[in-house]
Amino acid sequence: MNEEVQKIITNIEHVMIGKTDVATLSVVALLANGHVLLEDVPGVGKTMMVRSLAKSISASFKRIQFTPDLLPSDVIGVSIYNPQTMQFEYRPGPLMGNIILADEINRTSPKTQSALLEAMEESSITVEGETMPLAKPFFVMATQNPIEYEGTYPLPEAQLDRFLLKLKMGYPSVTEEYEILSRVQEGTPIEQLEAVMSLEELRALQQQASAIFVDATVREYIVQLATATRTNPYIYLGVSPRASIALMRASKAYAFIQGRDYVLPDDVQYLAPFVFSHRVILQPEARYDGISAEEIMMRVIASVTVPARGFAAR
Amino acid sequence: MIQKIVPKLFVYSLLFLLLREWLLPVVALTNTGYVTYIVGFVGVALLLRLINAHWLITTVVQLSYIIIFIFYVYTDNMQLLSSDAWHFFLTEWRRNLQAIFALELGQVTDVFRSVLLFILIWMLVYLVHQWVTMGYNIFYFFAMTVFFIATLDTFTAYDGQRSIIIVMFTGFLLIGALFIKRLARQTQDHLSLWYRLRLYIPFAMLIIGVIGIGIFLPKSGPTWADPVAYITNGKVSDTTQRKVGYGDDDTRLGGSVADDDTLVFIAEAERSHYFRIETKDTYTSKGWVQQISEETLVPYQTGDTIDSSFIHGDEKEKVTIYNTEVAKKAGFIVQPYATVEVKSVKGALTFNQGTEKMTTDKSLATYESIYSPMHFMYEDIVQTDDIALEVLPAEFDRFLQLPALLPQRIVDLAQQVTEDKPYVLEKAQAIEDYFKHNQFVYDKQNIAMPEEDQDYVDQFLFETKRGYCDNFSTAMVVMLRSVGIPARWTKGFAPGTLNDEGRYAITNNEAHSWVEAYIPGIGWLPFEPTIGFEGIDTIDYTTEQQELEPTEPERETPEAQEEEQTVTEETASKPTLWSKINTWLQQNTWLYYVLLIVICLTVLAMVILRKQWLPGYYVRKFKNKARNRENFMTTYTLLVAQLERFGYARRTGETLKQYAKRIDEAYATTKMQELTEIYEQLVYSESGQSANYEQLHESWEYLINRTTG
Repeated sequence: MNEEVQKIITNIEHVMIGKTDVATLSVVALLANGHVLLEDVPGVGKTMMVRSLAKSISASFKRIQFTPDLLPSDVIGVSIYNPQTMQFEYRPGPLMGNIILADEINRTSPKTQSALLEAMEESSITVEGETMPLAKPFFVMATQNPIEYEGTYPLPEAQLDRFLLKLKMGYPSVTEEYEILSRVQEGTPIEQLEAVMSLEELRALQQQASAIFVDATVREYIVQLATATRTNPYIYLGVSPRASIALMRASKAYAFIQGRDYVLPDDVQYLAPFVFSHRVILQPEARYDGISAEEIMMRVIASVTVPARGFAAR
Repeated sequence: MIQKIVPKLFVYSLLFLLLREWLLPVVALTNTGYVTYIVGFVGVALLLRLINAHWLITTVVQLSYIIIFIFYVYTDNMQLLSSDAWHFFLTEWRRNLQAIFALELGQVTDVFRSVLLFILIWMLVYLVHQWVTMGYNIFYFFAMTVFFIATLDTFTAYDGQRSIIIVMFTGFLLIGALFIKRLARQTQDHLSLWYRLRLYIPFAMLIIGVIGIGIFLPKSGPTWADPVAYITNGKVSDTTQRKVGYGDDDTRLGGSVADDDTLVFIAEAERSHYFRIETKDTYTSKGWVQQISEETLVPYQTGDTIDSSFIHGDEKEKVTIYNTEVAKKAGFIVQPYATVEVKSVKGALTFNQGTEKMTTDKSLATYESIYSPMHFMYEDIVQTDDIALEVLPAEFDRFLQLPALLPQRIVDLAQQVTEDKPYVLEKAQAIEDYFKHNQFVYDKQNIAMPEEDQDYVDQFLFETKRGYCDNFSTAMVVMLRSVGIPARWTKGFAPGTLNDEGRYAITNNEAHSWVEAYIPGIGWLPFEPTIGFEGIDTIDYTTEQQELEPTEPERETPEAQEEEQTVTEETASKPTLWSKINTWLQQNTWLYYVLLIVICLTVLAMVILRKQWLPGYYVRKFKNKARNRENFMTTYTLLVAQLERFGYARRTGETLKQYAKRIDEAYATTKMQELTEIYEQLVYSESGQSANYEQLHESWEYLINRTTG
């Protein structure tokens, strides 16, 4: 594994117990300049996760609690008249940070949601006709509570497409939970966390990750997987080419984390469910049969021959 | 450049061969001369298309070719650009135009016809070129060519056998070559020459193999009668080939005979026999007739001793004959050598003392011929000299008859052959052997009929040296008579082949003729001059013969002969080692089939069992090869293929890493993962790191050897 990245993950593990994979995937999204949608019940450590990540890379951490009455200006900032200078002054909103935790994103109105998502896509915001670039790196980790549907505004599919990965935290195991309690007893670990890397270094890592080589056969594999989602009987709407691009970007970052300078089909396979499952619309039959999008993705993967030079496709 | 020109050249060479097969029959059938120049025109036209010459150049060159041809062929060294030439051209032009407008096509001169032919070829080449370069398809033209040749072969004198083989070869090869061209166009890929060859060579080998085998396989005769005869005469013409088989009329011998394996009868016998039916005594220089026959018919009762001229012994053995409809209709009774009596349920048989032919007017399904083989010492019969021949009674005259106009050179030859043999038997044997050592060829095809003023034997002995049993036996009888030994021409059936039930099956192909000569003091003895036939062995006069005539390998022991007699008719002209091998091979055609089946089975077995022997082969193959990236990748894929044959196929959706892990778990190693890691690098990374290929090869050898167990 890449040593620099290893440092970040080890650092997060000081705070988060038994969530190495989520930590790794978050770093994948960070390195691939993408954003993460965390879907889980409250209290499993979503906030802790993001904060520890932010702290590890000495990034500025902002948190937005989404509520139904939140306005776009609350997110992107607003110009206020300053009587002393006799001018309007821009007061930056919480988006002007490196790492943003957008908590319970489905609780706010679509208007505010799209302000956030647009910022995620463009890496810039427009306030009163003035376009301002966002900080670099800019990493949004949005959470969404799958239990409560009352008074929520579910994100439309097109908006979900903006997230590189969709992750689930899951409950810790018994021993892990015990370990968590022990750590809390000792003090608040998050406060003791030290940065292991500067933002400058992180940007360099992002640069390196984007230069990872993707062989033609691997690109072909990604396309075949994407095509397979469009023909699967359980899937009503398959993934878009944007999803294929996302999968390739994520695979590059993952390969980089693994310390390789080329992407393997294994990387693609590992990431495909995280990249694809929130971008497809399932047929009602899938729900009747009790099959989740993740499971369907596993089936899709199992149905596509992994191409390799020297072996004929069957 | 070479990548482009080589396939193109190949295609155009094949086209040339194909077009040539169109022209050759046309030229041959219309008695047009100058084939080379006309075919040369095709070559020039194709060459111009090949190099993609500008249409102006093409036109000028081809027109010049035509004009030069015309001047070369139709004028006497006329200067090309002289006024004479101009005049010649104008007159021809005017005359032919007039003839055409007057619709008098007979008046059109040869010059004009030649020009037309050339223009036709020009168009044909243009069309073929279009098909090849635009449509990449020559199938219709190829099919047309086959149809054309087949039609010519059927309805005209043109022999299309050679032609059709060439057309098949070139046509299929062309189709294959054009298919690859089409493939290259469809896939929009640049296929390298080497890649094309790899596609093409197996195909070409297949074509050559299949057509090659086809050429050498035996072919059954046509199922339909010659359609031309039906069309022209309304009935099958008499000029078609005769079939082999037994017949009564021998007045005109010669000509080719076709095979006919209609079963005539089946003989149940202890050993192989020559089945004698009748003899003939008078040679007409075209064939055989019988001098006295009608007057000598005597009835024969079952159980009587046959009054044949043939000597016999005491012990009796029998041959049971089961007739087919063919033999029932013919009504003959076959007599193995030294037949003493014939037993049949329906009595009434007739014996002809003149021809020694026994017949029945009833349809006999079966009968028994009882024979008694002779045994006598060789020295008893060998020592009879010419003097005994001079005092023969008058009844032998008919066996010494010769045509009045028999060419003297036959007599001279017979005397020359028998010159230094003092005894009658030796003389007869010398003549019998003469055919074996003087470039005579056994063949049923392409056999001449004697001309009106030609002697049948003379033609065979001195001109053709090629023929079947009738030629050999008649020649021997005539030669024997020329030196004063009484001889007669004997007809019947050769021994035939043993069938599965241990019986001898005699078909029309076994219809045969041989020789009987009279040895004073002993009687009539059979001789077999036809090369490829083993001779009659029921007469056992072999005891000490080897001392006297060690050169004759045929009559060694009866047992040995029996085995060999299953073989019927072969050729052997030169006693060289090669021809011996050749003869042996020809006699043992079953060997080819056995060999072919063995080879097929071996190949099949090797394919089925390849998972057992392939690893060993691969290990040896790569033992001394360089340990480098390419060889490593090749060996890795071979290993995966081998594992697949062992049931460890890579599953759909399984990456190489997962696959390697599974294999390693199955074989309890880590070597597959080692190999796979390097292979993945080579396959999926940009550059591919250097690796210790020597060590990897060892792991590979270890794994692939494990798969054989």
